[in-house]
Amino acid sequence: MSAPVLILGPQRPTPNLRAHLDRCVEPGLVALITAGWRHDEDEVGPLHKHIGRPLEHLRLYAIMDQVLREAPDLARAYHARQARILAYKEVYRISLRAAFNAVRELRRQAPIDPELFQPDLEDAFEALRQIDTRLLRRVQEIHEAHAEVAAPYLDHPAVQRARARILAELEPARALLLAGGHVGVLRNRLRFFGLEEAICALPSQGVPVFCWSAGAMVLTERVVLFYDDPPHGHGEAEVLGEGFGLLPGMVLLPHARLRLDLADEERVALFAGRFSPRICVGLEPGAALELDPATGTIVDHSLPRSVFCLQPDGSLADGGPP
Amino acid sequence: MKAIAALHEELEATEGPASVVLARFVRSHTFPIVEGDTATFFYYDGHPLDGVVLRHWVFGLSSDQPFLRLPGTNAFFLVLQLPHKGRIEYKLEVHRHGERRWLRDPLNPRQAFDPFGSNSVCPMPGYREPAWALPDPHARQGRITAFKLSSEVYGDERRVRIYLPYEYHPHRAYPLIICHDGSDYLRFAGIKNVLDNLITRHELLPLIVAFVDGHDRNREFGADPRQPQYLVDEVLPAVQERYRLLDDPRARGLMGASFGGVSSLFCAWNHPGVFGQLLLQSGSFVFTDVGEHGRGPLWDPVVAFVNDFRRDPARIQARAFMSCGTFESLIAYNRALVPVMRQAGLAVRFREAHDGHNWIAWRDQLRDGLTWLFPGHLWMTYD
Repeated sequence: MSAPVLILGPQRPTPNLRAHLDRCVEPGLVALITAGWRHDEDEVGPLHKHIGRPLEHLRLYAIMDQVLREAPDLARAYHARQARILAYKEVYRISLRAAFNAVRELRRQAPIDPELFQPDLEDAFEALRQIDTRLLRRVQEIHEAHAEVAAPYLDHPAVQRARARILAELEPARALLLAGGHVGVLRNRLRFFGLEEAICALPSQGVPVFCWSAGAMVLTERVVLFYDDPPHGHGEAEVLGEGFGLLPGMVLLPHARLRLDLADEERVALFAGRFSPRICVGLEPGAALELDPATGTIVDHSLPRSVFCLQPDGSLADGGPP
Repeated sequence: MKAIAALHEELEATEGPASVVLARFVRSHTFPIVEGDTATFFYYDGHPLDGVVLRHWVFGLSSDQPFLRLPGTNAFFLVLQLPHKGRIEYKLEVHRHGERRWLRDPLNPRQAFDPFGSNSVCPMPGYREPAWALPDPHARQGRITAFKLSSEVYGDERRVRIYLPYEYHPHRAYPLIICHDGSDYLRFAGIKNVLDNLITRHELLPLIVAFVDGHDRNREFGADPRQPQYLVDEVLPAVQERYRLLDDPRARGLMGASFGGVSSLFCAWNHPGVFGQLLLQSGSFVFTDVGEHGRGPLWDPVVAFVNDFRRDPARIQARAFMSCGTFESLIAYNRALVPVMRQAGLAVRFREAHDGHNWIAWRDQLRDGLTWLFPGHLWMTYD
């Protein structure tokens, strides 16, 4: 029998993990990944107290650091690849900015003569989407060009040992908890140990996954970074890269009310249109969407107004995706 | 101006007492009356008076602007054109029976506070009080603690207050900023709210701030050689003894406003390579190309230092965020310093605001300054 994935809202200031964990999972051991907390990975005391049950803490952040210390050749290759990806991100931003300017200007002028502007506006939107898609392709090419770190767990003894240990620790757990934090670090550390397939297979093995914030974002098909009003630079959302695909068809936006200007219908419409047909889902504290990965059905257990979807017309629709 | 014209017409047309019309006018408006880019200041207390003058700190305008009397009444008004995003702090000087009294505008409840008391505030329509500067119940609260430091440099005991970010971990190392006029930044610029909010939003790295105050402030912060010695030989080691700090000049900063800005730059100049980040707000960077500065003896060491600094700015080995109000006399000096520093290869970010030499103006630039010097991982962190 398959188990659900619980997509929760941010766990601060008021956590709802305990309530849904107790509702869905028999008492017993659960596994926790907090690699996104980076240097604070071990600060699990408050969360452990909140859930009130035995915990197997999988310390991926620390283990990966240790592996890279033991294998300097691998560390060099890994960092070289990451530096190349970061360099490409600058190229991506140049294209993105130009495409955004075109879409904005065409949208601004479209009401003057919709018949004249609409076809170009649709093309400009498509160009924006293609830039996002190209990013994924170019990152994949960089991965392929650095084959020595493409799947290190397959052939590097230090990684093999660590991966085996992590999987052994995960095995007896009744559920996996995937916490938020730094989304890039979390995704990369999970990938480094080749854990994406193992995690995505858990529900079909009867093990539920509870995820929130960055922990939920990495399970989508495409991880989107967003912050409308940064103190410096542009506030255009960016694609970080591919996620693990356990949560298809949605872009997850934790703390959307703080990070996005949702009163600006123009920005909301642009955001929703850019990532369409995926549904952009805002998640606030109190959100709880229960997804059955086998059937794709979602049951919404959220508190009122804690989940909403960005609409292509710039409005917000209360509740999770249909 | 439209409001005053309408009032004038109404006063001319009325057959009853002017006091009734004026009282109604006062009740039905908020003051100053802002229409477009003009602000109309108004004074009426129902009693006879000789005149009213606007006292403000807008460089470029005469600092005492006399009000006009509405003919046949004891009501006075003044119309000023101000920038759309401008904000001014002011007082009224009321002349009555040969006496001159300074007071806050009794018709305007908006006030700003500083070490000398408080002023009335006139924000123009484009000015927005930043949300990140206000208390946020959802922000994760850092805490303020303090220790006393026996200073050999100054021969007295001084208090150093410390800001620790939320979830401060003693085993983890943090960046440090030493903040001049710390008590005033805390009290009048609400810097704790700013730090809590920016760190909660991941716009700013979690960091430690050491707040220091001067005992003879203008002298100590005015390019006094004791101050760099005090900060580097006494404050920095004392903070390091108590808290883990990142051991890297890029993770050490100095900040201050006005003479506090001078002191920050002076300290970096005297100890190059110790502090890699500077936040300089309305720095009193008065210099001379020729002749006297004309600001009094307190400024002599400041001007001498700024003249030296302009000859060799690269010596400070630091990045600098600078801000200044366009209503300040210091704006020209700050503007002039920026290209000198950039030409020397220093990374400098400069921001201007249509505001004056006051704590709210300095507060409003803190987000840009702090997050440029110590940027957080806002794009990547979702917790």
